[in-house]
Amino acid sequence: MMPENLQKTVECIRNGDHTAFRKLVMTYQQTAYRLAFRILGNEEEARDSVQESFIKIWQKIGSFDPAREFIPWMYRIIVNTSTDRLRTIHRHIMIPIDVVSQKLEAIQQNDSTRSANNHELAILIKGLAEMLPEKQKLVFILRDIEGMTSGEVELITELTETSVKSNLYHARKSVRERLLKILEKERTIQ
Amino acid sequence: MNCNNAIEHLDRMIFEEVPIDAGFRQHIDTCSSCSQAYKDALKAREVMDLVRRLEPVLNNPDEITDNIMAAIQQDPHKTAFVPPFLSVLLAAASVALFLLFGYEQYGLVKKVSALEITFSAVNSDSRYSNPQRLASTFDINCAGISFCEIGRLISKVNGTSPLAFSSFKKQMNQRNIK
Repeated sequence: MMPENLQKTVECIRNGDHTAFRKLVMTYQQTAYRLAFRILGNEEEARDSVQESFIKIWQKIGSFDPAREFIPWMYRIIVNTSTDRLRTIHRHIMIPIDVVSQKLEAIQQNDSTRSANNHELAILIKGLAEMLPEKQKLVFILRDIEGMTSGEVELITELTETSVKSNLYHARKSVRERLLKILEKERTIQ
Repeated sequence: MNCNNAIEHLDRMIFEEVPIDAGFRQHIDTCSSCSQAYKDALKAREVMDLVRRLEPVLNNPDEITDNIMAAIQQDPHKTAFVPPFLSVLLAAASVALFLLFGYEQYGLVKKVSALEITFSAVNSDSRYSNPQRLASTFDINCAGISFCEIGRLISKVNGTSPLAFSSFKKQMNQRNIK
């Protein structure tokens, strides 16, 4: 959606326009799902999180400051909703390296399209980021997987620049170690 | 370039686009351990690219849209946006009201305590029969309220009848003490 169209849509939603809200949901639900899925690593939980997030967006749109950007505000709601959900379902189960390695191989073999089997992708993402503390995980997903800038990550997570840098540094260190272990396992299997 | 610099470079390379300069290239060509680390870093970067590129598939998106729309049908916007200047104004008004009523309350408590002391002295002391002396001993006039109020307030505080003050009031009036 073009920025000016988005601005008009948001204004209509603020005035209680259901049609405009439907348009927003249809435009951004895949983006919201992708983000929720990457945080939660679970298809069903991500679906529920998307629904809950959009309902919150509708409820809170009156408190949105139109002078600010809408997308980071919307992302913040999705991230917070998914993080809250993650806390309730968190089971601290580490996925074994060889399982992640097998799924990685399967994904690489079928990598002809942009799509992958959701289950395999969930295992790969969880295999890389599941062990990270909450803030590190969020910063890593937003910065290194979603490809956002540090400024955008600060806006969405409401962390300071220093905190984003520090969390990213530690997250990358852990993910790198994990990645190298996965690749080493893959080499031994071959 | 030494091994430490090279490893630092490789670590960054996994997660972001880092230009490979001639010094780095020369080092990995001559150092076998860094050469292996470089190969690993390239593979790790491929995995990161894959994770970035692959989108999870949202099955039945229309169902999600319909569920959301059904949920909001009866749900009004709950909060209203308050511009920053209005927030400051509201906060200032709250503080002013707090100070105003707090001061009033403080004054009232001060008066009631002064009157309690006075009243207990009046009840227990022979000075009750000498209102002028009483007035000079306890600064009743400074409290700035009438005897009717004194009676009312004391009765509120300790349940004593306001009538207890009536004879005292008469004597004070006779002696022209307000």
